Amino acid sequence: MKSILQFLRNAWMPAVVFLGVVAIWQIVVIAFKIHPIVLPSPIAVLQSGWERREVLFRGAWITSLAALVGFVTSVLVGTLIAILFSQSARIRTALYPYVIFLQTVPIVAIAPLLIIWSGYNFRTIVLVTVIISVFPIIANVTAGLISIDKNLRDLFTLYSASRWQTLVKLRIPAAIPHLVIGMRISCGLAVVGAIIGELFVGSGGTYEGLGTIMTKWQARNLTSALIAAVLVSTIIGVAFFVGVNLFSRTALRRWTVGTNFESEP
Amino acid sequence: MILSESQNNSPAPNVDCSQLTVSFPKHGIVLDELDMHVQSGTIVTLLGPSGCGKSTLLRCVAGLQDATRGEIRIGGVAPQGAQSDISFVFQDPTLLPWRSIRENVLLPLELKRHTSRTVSRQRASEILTTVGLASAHHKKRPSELSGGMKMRASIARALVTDPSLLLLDEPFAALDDMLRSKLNELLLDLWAKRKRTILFVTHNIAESVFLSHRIALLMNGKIREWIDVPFEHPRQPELRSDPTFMKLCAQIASRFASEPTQSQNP
Repeated sequence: MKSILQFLRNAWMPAVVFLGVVAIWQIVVIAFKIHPIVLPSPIAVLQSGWERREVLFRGAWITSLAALVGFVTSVLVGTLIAILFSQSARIRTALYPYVIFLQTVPIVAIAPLLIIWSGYNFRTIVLVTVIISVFPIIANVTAGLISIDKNLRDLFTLYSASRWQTLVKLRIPAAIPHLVIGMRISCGLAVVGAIIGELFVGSGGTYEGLGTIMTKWQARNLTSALIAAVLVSTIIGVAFFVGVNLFSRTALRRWTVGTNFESEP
Repeated sequence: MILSESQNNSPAPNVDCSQLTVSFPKHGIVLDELDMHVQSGTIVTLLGPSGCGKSTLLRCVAGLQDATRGEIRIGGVAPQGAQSDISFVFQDPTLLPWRSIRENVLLPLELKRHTSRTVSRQRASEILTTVGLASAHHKKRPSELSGGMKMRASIARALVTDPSLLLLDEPFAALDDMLRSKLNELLLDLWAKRKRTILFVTHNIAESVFLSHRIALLMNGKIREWIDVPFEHPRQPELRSDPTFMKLCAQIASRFASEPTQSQNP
């Protein structure tokens, strides 16, 4: 109850800003008689979105699914790579440049390659999603696994803890807050990755994610519907973020709440 | 019954260092051909200003720091790497924040795959109660406890394996005076029960006099002087206001004052 009040107290100001922006938008569109293809009014966007609600809803579902599968894969694969990196500075030195390569490679440039290798399908979209969203997981979890308090490391040395014991009882639990930070960045990127993947895959297949739908609407100059689709994809991103925070405060509670990472609610 | 099962029957060891030298690339020589003999079953304090090498000496004895030259013998043998029979208390409580107090105390037993879980738990609870943490606190997280309580838990963790040699690195430095006095008394009580060898690092003169049989004055990487503390154990809190006690403290303080103070970390 207290937290709901707190939420309302924090939420009203951004809400006012949002309503203000929408109001100005509506006024500007009417006052300057802007053509709907350039900028439709907020009401037109709402109408257009409502008319296409079924397509949008199905698209959102398909995109969310691709983003979720890609995100979960990123979290698992990224964590495993980070654990590998934490085991030896030599492995880190040898492989880290390639992880950075993964981060810096223009996804737009390799997407066509991925399509050739993997086809016009869901798998390719998930691949694009993983390539875009895995880096924050690897970087943050690796940092968490290796930046352990010196005294704690000494404590484990003192009791002759094995490499495995140190990993399981010290490094991994200590890295979980870092994992959450990585997940917060990565979840938004996963949604972006899924839509980018769809932009490429959609043009050649029978796939109906948000990205695919947007390509079609763009071809038909349906600006209002496009803006509605953008809003829907934003909502997906926000939902992912909220989901990660919930996950952090429930399933990962033991390692996040009361450990200098998140305060008690 | 439970205590005797996990009790360590190896005798308290002597600790000997000969020609112990440690130098770091950045700080130069930290320990300079240091010789030290610690009698088994006694409390010895390493006293000195910060940067004198007292913590490094303690870490060498614990096996956490390699000596550049020289030798350490614990119970007459040179230790190979980390020793199972030594416990170390850090200046910070160094508790795992995601574990409850009792789970923290259990950690050494877990790492050594000691006894059964149930026996271990009972042992942890007993030790926690011994150091003055009521059972209501055993399931709390470190973040829910005060600094003094966390330090008590940290001491309990060090004692849970019943080590024959206990090393403490300025454990009470961050606590207020009243708490420090209380924990000093607790440490003496604990020592009286098992008569283990205790090496205690501090820069607090009154604390060193109150606790120890002998005090090693460390300056610039060497032991300058040994001071035998003439008071009998068990010692009562009132000892601190005894004129001889205060006189000894003043004498020790003057030893440090007369020493030309070199820059702490060259």
